[in-house]
Formats: sequence, structure tokens, C-alpha cells
Amino acid sequence: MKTRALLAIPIALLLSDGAQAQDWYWGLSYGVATPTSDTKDFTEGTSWRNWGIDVLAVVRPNTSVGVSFGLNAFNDVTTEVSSIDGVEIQGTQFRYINSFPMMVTIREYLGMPGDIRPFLGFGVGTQLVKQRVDVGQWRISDNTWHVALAPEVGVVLPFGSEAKWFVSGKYNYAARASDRQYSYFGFNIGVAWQTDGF
Amino acid sequence: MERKWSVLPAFAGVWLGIMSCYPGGVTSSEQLDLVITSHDDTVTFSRFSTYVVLDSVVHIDLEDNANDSLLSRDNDALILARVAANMEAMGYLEEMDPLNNTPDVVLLVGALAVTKSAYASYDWWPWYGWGYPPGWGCCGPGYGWGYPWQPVQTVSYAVGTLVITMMDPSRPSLGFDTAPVLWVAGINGVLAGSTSSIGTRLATSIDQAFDQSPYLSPLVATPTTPN
Repeated sequence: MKTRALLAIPIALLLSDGAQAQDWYWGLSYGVATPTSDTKDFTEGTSWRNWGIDVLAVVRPNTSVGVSFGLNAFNDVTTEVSSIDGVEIQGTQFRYINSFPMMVTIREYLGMPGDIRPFLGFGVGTQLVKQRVDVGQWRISDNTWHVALAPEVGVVLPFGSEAKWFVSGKYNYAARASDRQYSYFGFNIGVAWQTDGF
Repeated sequence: MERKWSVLPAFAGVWLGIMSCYPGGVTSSEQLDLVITSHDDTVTFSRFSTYVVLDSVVHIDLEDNANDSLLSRDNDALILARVAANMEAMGYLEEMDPLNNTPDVVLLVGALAVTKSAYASYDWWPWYGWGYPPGWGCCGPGYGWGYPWQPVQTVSYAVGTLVITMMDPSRPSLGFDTAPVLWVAGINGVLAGSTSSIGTRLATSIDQAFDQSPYLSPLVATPTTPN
């Protein structure tokens, strides 16, 4: 219920009267991510394979709403002993987490258009997580869907008349589902350019 | 700005991202070795002190090979010696006269091998390498990631499993052909490489099986329910 309410805010803004003449932007970003909590237990270490796509509309001078898609890929190799139902298993484990957040986002900007503009953002939506372990000649994998939240802080840097750089830090939190919970902190850098819509 | 040009870079980003989902992977036979152990947690191993390892490795031929070509006996002596060495290291004493003095535990060692097949293809994309084994790819069991112009080959490989079973000769049989097992270790791997390299991997895996089973030691008081 709370998720629906959170989703309703950016959608309402997008459909409001003030959104009729908004500017549209595509954003493409690359990032590094550090796993936290349970995610770190499974795949420790920084991920260098993180990509994001944002489509957003500036509905007010200081507000944009949009949708965000991402891929965050974590992997690790370990030879630790795992215990499952009283059976100890040791081998070279190739562990993977591929996370696909899909969110509705809202950002609130400080400053004036055309300036360097810090922003606070918040995303809510869902996250598909594909977790996999290859060990010996066996593979254990599953896919889980999670309710996901992503607070974000960043800054937009003007770059020509139709494009902007942006850097941001985002915390992705995927709520527990099927006894799995995922979270990681990402640092992203990207470019956004103005377009005529979808 | 043209709409089509605004969309294409985004899809290029998605493609690049997806291509990097599963980096790394197996680069040597050793990385496919697997050691699995399990034990009866109602048994207190500290009450045992003597052991015997049966003097032969039982080869189980699942494929009815007349010449038993998949399994060599070249490493049998090494296997039996390594099992005994680990039992000694854990604090057990070998019973030298088992016909007159029943040992506390008896270890049986068996080996089996099977042939498996896999489709292999060499990708031009550098971090994929050889597809291995079936299902090793993006699209589910039986389908590897491939391109129409890739050469695809079928490869066969032998997989061996060594099974070490610890039994208590004083415990009654559970029935015909069935005996209570205290501890079992399974060592599984691809039979690739020279006899000596396979022997080295076997020794490492046998050591690992005992290392990950510290409760076996008669010198350690295990917090389990007495039998």
C-alpha cells in the first residue's frame, strides 16, 4: 500500500497540467557499486559493471519525474565450505548477482536551470535479482522479485545546450522476499541529453 | 534531435551491460573439483579410537566398460594411503589385527566414473571463453550463448567420483545390503590430466574432506547426542 502511494506521487506530477510542456531527457550512466548487508555476504567486493538508463521529464523548474532502469552485476569466487542441510560442500564457487532495478523516480533540484544543480532523488519500484552459484559441475540459480527503494543524491552539470553531465550516489535497497534481501551503494556518472520524448 | 538517435545509445548501453553479467568462470580442471561430506549427527566420534581402511578401492563401472577404461588403478594406493594418513592425523590408531580385534570404525573406498557430453563453442567475446557444460550460458539448460557463425563442437569428458564411507562394525545392519553409515565423503571431479596430476588433486580433496569434518576426531568432544 505504501509502495502504491509512493508510486502515485511522480505519476500524478507527470500527468498534471504543469507537465504538458515539459522537457524530456534520456540519461545513460555507468557506475561502481559496493555491496552491503546480505549482498556483501554473498559477493564481497566492489562491482565495476553497473549501468543505468533514465528517462525523465522536467515537470517543474525544480522537479523531474521519470523512470529508471539499471543493471548491477556482482560476482565473487570463493572456496569456502558451505553447509546445507547438514551437508558440507567445498569447491570453487563462482557466485553471481545480477540485479535489475526498475523504478519510478522523482528528483528535486536546487539552484536555477543552466547552473550546476545539486539534487535529491528517490526511486520506488521493483527489482529483479538473478542469483547464481556455479560449483563443480552444478549450477544453483534462482530469480526473485523485490519491492525496491533507492534514495539518491547528486549534482547535474550543464554541458552544452541540450546535454548535461550528472554524478550521483544511490543506495539501492531490495526488500526481503523469498528469504533474500539485497542492498548496495552505487556511485554513478552519466550523461543526459534532451530529446523529444519516447 | 532525431528520436531514433536518442534511443539507440540507450539500447547500446543495455547490450553492453547484459554482456558483462557473468564474467570469469572455470579455467582449470581443479576448479571443478568438489568435496561433499555428511555425517550422522547422533554419533559421538570421541568414543572411537581404532580404524581399518579396507585394502582395495572398489571400482564401480556404471557404463559396463569391459576394459574399465575410465578408471585407472594407478592412484589406488595413493588414495588408500591418504585416507589412512588423515585418520592417523585425526588421532585414530590403525587396528593391525582386525580379525581378532574389531576396530571401532571401518572405512570403505569406492570409485566410479561416467562419461558426459557437452556442446562447446568458442565466442569471439573475450570473457565468455569455452561454453561449458550444458546449460552454461544465458538461455537455460541445453542452450549456450552463441552466434550463427561460431563453430560448435560436442565434447565428451569423464567425471569421476570417489566415495569414502565410514562405518561402525558393531552396529547392526539396517537390513539386507544396508549398513549404518557414520560419515561419508564424496569427491567429484573431471578426469582430465596425467595420472600424477589427478593423484595430486585426489590427495588435496581427500585432505579437504577430513579438514571440513573436524567432528570426526576422537580427540574432540563433539556436542552431539550420545548414541
